[in-house]
Amino acid sequence: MSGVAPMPSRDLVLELRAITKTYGSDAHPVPVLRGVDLAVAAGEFVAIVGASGSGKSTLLNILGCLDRPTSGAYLLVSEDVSQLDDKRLSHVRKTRIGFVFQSFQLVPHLTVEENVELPLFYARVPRKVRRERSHAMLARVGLSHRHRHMPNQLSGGECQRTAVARALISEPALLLADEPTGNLDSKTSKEIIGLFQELHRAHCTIVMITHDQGVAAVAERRITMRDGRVDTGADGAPPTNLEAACSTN
Amino acid sequence: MFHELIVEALRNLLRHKLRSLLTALGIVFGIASVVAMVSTGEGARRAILDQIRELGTNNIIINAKKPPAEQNVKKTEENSTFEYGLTFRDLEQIRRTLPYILDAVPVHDVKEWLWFGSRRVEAKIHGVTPAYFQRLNLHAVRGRVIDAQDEVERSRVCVVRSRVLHEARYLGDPLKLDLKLGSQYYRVIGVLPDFQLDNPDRSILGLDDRSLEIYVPFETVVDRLGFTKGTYDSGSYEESRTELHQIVCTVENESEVPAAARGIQAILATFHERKDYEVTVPIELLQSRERTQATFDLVLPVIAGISLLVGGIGILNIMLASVTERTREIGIRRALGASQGDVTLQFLIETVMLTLVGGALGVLLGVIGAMLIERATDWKPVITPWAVVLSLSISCLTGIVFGLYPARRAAMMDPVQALRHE
Repeated sequence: MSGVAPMPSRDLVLELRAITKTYGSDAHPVPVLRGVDLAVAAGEFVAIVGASGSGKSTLLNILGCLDRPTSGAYLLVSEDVSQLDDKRLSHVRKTRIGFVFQSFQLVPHLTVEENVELPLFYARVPRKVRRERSHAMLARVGLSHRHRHMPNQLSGGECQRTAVARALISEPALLLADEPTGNLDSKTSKEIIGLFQELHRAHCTIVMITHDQGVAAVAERRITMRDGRVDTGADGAPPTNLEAACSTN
Repeated sequence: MFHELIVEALRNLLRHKLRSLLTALGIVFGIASVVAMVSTGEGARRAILDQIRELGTNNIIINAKKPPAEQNVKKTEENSTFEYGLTFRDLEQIRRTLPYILDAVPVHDVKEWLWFGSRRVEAKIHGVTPAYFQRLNLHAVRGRVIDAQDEVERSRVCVVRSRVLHEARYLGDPLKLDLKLGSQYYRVIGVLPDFQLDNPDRSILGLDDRSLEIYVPFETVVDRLGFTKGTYDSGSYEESRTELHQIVCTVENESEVPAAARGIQAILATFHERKDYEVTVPIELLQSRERTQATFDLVLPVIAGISLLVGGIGILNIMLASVTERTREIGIRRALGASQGDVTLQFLIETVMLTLVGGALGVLLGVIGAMLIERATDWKPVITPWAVVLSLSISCLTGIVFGLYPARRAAMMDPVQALRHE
């Protein structure tokens, strides 16, 4: 439910403090994020909504350690990852973060199970263990019969289920979803949202970008981005205790 | 991990079979031509070295040489016999004066008709002493070689090259065969193997392998056929006399060969007013041959280098295109935790696999090429293991050199941009 404050007893999975991101040259800076403060507790399901250009994709890239903030601190499981080098950042991505993208982003020439195993491959997990875990994960998203299929033999919903299985296989602390229903019809969207709700019940921490209000409504908490800032008052919900705590920091 | 990257790389290459093949073609042909050249060259080299060794590296061979025709007028009125070549006196002088010479063995050659029923072919009869076989390291494959007893008895026996039996179309026991040489019969007592190779190289070395060679005891030849030979040349009868056609001198150590050769030249120059002899030093042939080889060895890497450079640039080009084409895949892998190192390794292994498979195909093609060359020239190609190992390592190295840049480019991509790439 939106606006529900995370219980203070819950551990924080991530915490952003005055994150800024500026593109362009020094002469013509293009600020995209202008100081974002955000805290997400373990097991929370957060939806980030906002108009295009509001900076939500940039925020997600920073949350996913694909990009580094220009300034500010990003604590992921109480480790500051805002200024890590590529190698460390890659390590954080493969151990702590799972991605689900709008356009699925499956490697087209790898089978479903191989796609799902990719994060474990980079974590140097032995092949046998990988296979076991990918099969377990595919069973969890209801794709046990599709192990050896190629992505182009799957429906959109199946592709996204594969992507979810892949995102979860390394048991990440944080599941990031970038408009996961954007390329799906309404029926399949419902299925995928159902899957996310299921994961939420299983205590996954989920941060999802969407501009579909219906999708955002299923999230526990909704955050609106506007002009590179978190717009706390937009949906009428008061800032949560934690956000208040962070912003006064 | 590593072997999975290799499997993955090979799978990627197999996804675009034609493209991979065309890309690797430069390497394939580069390596193939080098392997073909090296193995053929090596084959030819070994063949020639074997022949030179067959002559003995401790030996100095003096051959009688018929002087040019204008010098032939020097014959006396009463005796129209034209004398040339080596003499017993030469043999004695060499034996006595030169300290290095272990032994000097005389040879007297006669050309005679060899009869097979009513068919005849010209055979080269070598009158040789038992020492000849020892000095030239000749061993009978059947029967025995000529011994001292044959010399003393001046027996009508002969040792033949197995080619003679082939020419005679004789399938029975060679040791029961009587060969008709001219008007007399000679019992075959031994068979020597043929020269290892039957190719143009022998004539380069001044060895005539085309004729049928038959060895008869020296004394027998001299006794029965004499030193004088009559020939009809351009309608006029000409008689020539040669005592010895060849002297094989042997020294104890290879290092004494040059000094001994100089000594022999000096002695012969003293006793011969015309140059009717020729001194062949197998070890010098060997050395000059090795110098030629050194030039060849220098040119080859240059040719190989150029073809690999051209092949490598082709690979660089295609790998750059491939990296661009797979930008999204790179983005996905990066998002899932691949470090820059992982991406570099993936593309580098792919390039190396491409060049390695290309190199392997090249080796294969080169071997086939060398075999085709063998059919055309009789040079037996020698595929040395080091040539194969070297070819493959060079292919590998080419892959690393030309794959590094595309791989780094893939690794340096911004993951966010790469994921958005269409």
